[in-house]
Amino acid sequence: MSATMTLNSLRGTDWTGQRRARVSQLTGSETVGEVVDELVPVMHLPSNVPYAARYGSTKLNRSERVGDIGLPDDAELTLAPEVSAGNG
Amino acid sequence: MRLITDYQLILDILTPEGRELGQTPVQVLERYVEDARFSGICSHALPPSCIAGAATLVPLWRQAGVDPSLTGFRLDLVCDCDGTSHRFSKSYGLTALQRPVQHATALLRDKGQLQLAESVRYRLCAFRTPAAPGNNRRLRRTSEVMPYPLQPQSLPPLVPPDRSASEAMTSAFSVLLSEQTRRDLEEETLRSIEVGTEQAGMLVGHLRHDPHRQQVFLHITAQVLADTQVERQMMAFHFHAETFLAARDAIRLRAQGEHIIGWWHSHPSCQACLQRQDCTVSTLFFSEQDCLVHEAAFNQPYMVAIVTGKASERQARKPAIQMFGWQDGCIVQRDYHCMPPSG
Repeated sequence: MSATMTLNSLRGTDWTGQRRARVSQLTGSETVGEVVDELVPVMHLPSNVPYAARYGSTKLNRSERVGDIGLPDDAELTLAPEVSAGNG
Repeated sequence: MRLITDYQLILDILTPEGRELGQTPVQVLERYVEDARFSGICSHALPPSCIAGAATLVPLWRQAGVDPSLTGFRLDLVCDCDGTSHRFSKSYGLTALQRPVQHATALLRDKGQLQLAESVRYRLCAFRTPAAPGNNRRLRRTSEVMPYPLQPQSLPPLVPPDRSASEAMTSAFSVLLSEQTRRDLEEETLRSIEVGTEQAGMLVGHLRHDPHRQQVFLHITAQVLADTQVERQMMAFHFHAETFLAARDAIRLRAQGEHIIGWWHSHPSCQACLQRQDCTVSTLFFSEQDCLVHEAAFNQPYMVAIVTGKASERQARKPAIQMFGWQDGCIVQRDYHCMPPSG
């Protein structure tokens, strides 16, 4: 979709749906990674693990500009961590 | 939820002799705010629908006006969610700071400033936060406080808690584990021993409150295996973001109105344990990596974790279950009740 769509804000939710936040005053030139990094602290998620973002069923690349990927204004991104667990 | 405070909490890490090794700010105070809100609901001081927007942090000084060190801190919550003003306060002592201390000491060990076997002491201090510079942030960030997914339901009669270890804590809310889920976990654990890798999944169910008995309880109704992009090994596994999202989608497909309420994984015993009838090894523990998973993905105060594996007093072919959960902002072993099938 066009990069000229008006994108002012994006919402974030964690994968359980229990933590939500919004980033506004976007210009569209911010990368997905920058938006995720803004959302993580305000959603009170630990900052010592990486997070991936998805819009609906679409995986988003951290380096893409949010204005270039066709996100509607106030779209909801789902954040999920990448973590290891175990017996170690 | 917003934290209102004029102070920054600092942890001083000290040698047993009192020499200062390092300082670190306590950065996870929101975890205690969530714990306080949930504690207030469990004790019925706050309504189940509470979405209190802010909590005030009050330092508990050892010697007010003389010494910056604290015996702990208190959180004061005010909630007007149902049109009535509710107040709730909860105090946290130094033991509630186990995780920040562990993080700080791990950092010192990584820097070589502390040896692996060296023990430390710690001191909590509060200092006035310097006047904040003008807000130069271009982006505006706002958080939304969600109510807990509490639904009213009568608490069924409980059988005595299944205590797989004597140190299991009794929490402010009960956890009920369905018999079918318990059996599923045992079967999956035995399978993980056969294939020689850890197994993992999500726990789903309902968070309930009994309005008559004024009790909050968590009912684990099923487990959903984590099958998507899980890298399994004998001693560990890696959850990719897609693992969580696929499990969430699978839970929606069940269409039972369930919520994600925790996770489980196995610590399989080794082949030698299987051969020996008298083996006293236990694989039931919550590792540092397990804590990181729980903090990152299961950080609501009602969320629990189950570890399955070999108990010291049981044979490897009869897996045992241990449950862990949040208490006062810390991850601790906790008790649970097995629920026989209804009808």
